[in-house]
Amino acid sequence: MKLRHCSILFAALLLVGAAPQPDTNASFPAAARNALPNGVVIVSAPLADSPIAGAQVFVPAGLMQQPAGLAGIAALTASVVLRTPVERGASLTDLAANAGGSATYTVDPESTRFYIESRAADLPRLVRDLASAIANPDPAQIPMARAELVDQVSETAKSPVQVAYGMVRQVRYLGTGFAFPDGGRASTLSRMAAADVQRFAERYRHGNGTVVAILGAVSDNNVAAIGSAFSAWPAGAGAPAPQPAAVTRQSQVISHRNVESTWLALGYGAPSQFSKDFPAMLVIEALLGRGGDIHALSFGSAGAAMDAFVGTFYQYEARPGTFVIFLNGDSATITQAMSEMEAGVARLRGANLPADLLLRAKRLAIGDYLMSDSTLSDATWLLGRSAMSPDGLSFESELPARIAAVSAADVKRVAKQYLARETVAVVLPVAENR
Amino acid sequence: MLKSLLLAPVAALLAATLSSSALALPLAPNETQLSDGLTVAARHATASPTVALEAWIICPSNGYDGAKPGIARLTGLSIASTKVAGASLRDLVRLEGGQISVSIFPGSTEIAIVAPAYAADRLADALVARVFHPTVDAAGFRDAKLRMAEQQLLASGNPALLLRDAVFNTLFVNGPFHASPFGTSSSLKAMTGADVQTFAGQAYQPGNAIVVAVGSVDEQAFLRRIASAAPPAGSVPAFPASAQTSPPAQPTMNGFADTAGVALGWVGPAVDDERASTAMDFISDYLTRPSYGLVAKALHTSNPAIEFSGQFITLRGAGVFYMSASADKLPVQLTADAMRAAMKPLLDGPLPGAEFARALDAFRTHTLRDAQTPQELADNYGWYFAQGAPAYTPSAIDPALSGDYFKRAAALTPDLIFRTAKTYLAGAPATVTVAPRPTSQTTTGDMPPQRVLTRGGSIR
Repeated sequence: MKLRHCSILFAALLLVGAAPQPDTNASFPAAARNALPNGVVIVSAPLADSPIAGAQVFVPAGLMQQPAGLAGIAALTASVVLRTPVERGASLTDLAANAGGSATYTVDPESTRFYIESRAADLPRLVRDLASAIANPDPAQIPMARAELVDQVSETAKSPVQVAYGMVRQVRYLGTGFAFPDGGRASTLSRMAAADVQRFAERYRHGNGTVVAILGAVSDNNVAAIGSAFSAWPAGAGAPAPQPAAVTRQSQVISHRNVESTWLALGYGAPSQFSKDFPAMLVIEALLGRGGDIHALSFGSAGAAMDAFVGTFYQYEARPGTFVIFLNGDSATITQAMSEMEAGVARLRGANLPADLLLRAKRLAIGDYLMSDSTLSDATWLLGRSAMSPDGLSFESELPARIAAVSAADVKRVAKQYLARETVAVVLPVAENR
Repeated sequence: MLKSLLLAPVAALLAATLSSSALALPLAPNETQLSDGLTVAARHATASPTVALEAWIICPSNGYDGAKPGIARLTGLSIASTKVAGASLRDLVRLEGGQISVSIFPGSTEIAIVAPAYAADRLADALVARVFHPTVDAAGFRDAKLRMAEQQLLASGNPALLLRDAVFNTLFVNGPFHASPFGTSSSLKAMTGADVQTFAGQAYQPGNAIVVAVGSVDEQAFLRRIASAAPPAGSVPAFPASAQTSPPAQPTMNGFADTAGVALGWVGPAVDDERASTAMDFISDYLTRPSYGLVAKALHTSNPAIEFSGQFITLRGAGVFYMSASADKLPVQLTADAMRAAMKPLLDGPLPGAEFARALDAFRTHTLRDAQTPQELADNYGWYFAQGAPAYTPSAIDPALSGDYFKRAAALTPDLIFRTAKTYLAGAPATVTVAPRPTSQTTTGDMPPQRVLTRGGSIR
């Protein structure tokens, strides 16, 4: 789920001969699922040819669950956890680094993820240290964690793409903590106290919703030892993520930044990852996101490639999801690009794709999906997602076939359902008034 | 000014002839040499449903006569963009949702594909056909020129790339290691399709290349496939020498970039001294690894906005250890002094036993973690082949870590690390700088791909 930079791919897609049927033959490591009595799910896949191991720990409190007025508490809490002294005064971050490994966090819309990568022998100890830090986050670490976050927030605010994405979220996730910037704001961060961090860390500690995904050179004993780190967590689920207010109309948000040219983001609703419409939306993403050429959507009309097309971002972890198209250029170019993009979206909604184009898009979507699984970190994320999926561990291996089964009618229906009521975010150079 | 500074110490030249012959070298497990001289590495890896397919060709980035800076880049890009039967290699890869990159180093060219594993056979066929029967058409050549111009433009603002090139430019007085792999804009303008076709005909020969497949592939089937498609053997011109020189006593200013920057560089051991090369890798890890190395941490503590990078680059004739730092308003001399000060624990004496044991474990773990994806593994097969040391690749990983590289790592001692650091890093380094552009112009857009090879280093 990364921002992709697009170029002229779709032009190439259209020039090559007849499209073969998509291949869906992909092998994922065999995995085992085990649930602790308190509801924590441990899912593991040993790899004989990997000398190292990774554990992705999903805990059930993320950006959505941030209370009003505490934007940034999810990131601050996660940062404090990793800085908390756990062994002879050393933090988990330092212990992992000294052993040649790493410990990191990511705040997702509905969870916080801690990822630890190390030699297999070190992994159980480091995961236990994580559980221990979550239980007792050290308030003395808050000032340093806060200072680091303030720097990150300041850097993020310089990115026009991030600013535009933030503006789209502000509209589409109103009423949830996901409407705020990921790292919060300096003003809210400065107000956060030890009790806030403690309370948010308490939200992590629920059996239901906690998933530990382990991959690599791990034995059954390693897996059992890692699982035992969470056996004392209370059973039950945390508070559900709040639902954002429905987006009922088009809206436009404008901001000014120190950028050389205008950036524009078109935000739409989108199915989340466990929706039956997810595969069709991935096909739409392949068409729009990898193309960069609006004529890919024009069903045979011809024209020059659009140089202002930067790419798409499909946020499918949040419920509901969001699909954002980013454009960049001078005023005339961007106005033209936006109008062409909207016309293309309208055509997707209005008619079935030609069979050949649909085949190519499905092939590309499957390829994109498999290419997202490269590192141990990627693989543990996918493994954890499959454990959370209503379809279970087969979710990932079945996704290519589900993409291959998408029909032209599915694409049209999903485009019609989701690609409406757009949110337009515009980031203008400071010198421009409009 | 730049050239006169570089050419001043010519009297101190040390001949460093870099031969290109890879014949009869010991190979790593999973590697085979075919009768036409083509080396093939095939390795099954189960973690990812993707495959990395790479062709590495040993060739000078500036041509066999040294007169065409950037010819290797233009050739690689032209071959990737030229259509055969209506589709270029770039088209074919992207149709599968894969990625293709052309990476140019002073002494080698890498054409790398990462794609879903089910596409491995058809993409391997295409890769071998395009690389060993190279053709360049007018449209592919035009596309390559545009891409290369864009890469040159983007690189021209990037302080880390400029500084790395400047270190090599300073440490080597001529040959491919003196020239920037990005070439020059005037050279790009002057080069023709015929130049590219000639260079491809000279360099893209099986005895001069390795084809690598790592990922969800059947090793034996892949080997049979490549063997049946193998092209006839051909002759390759001698690889031009790059001669070392003593660095100038004063810092060398290397023009303007998006921010200010400074780099320090030293010549290290050649790859055939595996003991010292492995020791240098340990030293590099201990000093420069992000969030871990002594120098990396010292600079981050002094100013978190500093972009730091450093590496020991394993090379045939002589390795290079360098560190660079860049940031807005970077105090260049203070930063250079801070880098050298942070190296002191390795230069003052052997590390204490417990610290060395911990650092050695960490070094091994870093090496293994840095070789976890199909592409990372494939890169290190390619890089070490291109340096004439295929058996020494860190990609030769088995459960017992019995490959050459890890045996050398296991044999490291505090004394050896100290002696190696004293030998190669105690002297005055080449110091190169870049200054921020006088105007507020900034570079925007994507940088050319920059991957850091596990141990071998990366010079795009």
